[in-house]
Amino acid sequence: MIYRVEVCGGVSDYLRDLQGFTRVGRLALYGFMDVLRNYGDEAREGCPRKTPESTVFCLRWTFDTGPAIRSVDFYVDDAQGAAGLLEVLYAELVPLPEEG
Amino acid sequence: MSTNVLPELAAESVETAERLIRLSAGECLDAAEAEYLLTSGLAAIQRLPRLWPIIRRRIGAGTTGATAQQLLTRLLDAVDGNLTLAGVLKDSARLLREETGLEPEAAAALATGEEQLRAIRAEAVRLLRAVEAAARWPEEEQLKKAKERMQGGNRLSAEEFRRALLDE
Repeated sequence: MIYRVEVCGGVSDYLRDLQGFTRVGRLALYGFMDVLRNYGDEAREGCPRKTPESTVFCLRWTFDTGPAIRSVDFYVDDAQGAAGLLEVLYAELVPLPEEG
Repeated sequence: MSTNVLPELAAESVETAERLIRLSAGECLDAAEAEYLLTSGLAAIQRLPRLWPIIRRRIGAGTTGATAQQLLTRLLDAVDGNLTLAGVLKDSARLLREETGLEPEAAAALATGEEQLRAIRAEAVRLLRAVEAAARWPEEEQLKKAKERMQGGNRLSAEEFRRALLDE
């Protein structure tokens, strides 16, 4: 199924505020949207959930920000997945091991 | 989420290293055979530093954490296999030197290749640690509030989000 993906305004604000990303890095970041859109079934099936019955799964997206390869965790609600909608509720840049 | 050729290339590198290690352990090798294996092993070791930038670029272009983890794990298997091969070949080079009195041509390049593999290993391990870090799940309350905000209209379509992200 091809999904419609919508993003919470807070997620967009958070990602826009991340410093040091090049334009190419931001384009690489955006790639997670294509994965959710085109491979949403695999993501819903394979990505971890806090509990089996939770409607929220975590998609980790790894990409080159420009200065470095980093990962962002996206928390996606598929409560309306059957209707073809995935909602990105929350995002967090994964800290580097040395950042703790 | 698509399959690609890179894990297979890394696996092929592991197999080659293992085969050359096995052949180099042969008891009846003469100097010419040992030198041939040394040269073949060196070529195998020198291929990996060309594979690493391809894998790095593939990850850098954007991939799921699971795919990045798979690529890095396969690469590290290949690096470790080739570091073991480098150790075996160093012994072969020493025996050749003792037998012929001449330094095999490949010996110096072997040291450089081993150094490159160690540098790749350090970078790949650092990256893998980051990719494997545990997710820090937000509180239920944070998710609930985000959902309420979206229901209240604070939501972006894919195209709106793209434009916002790229400042267009």
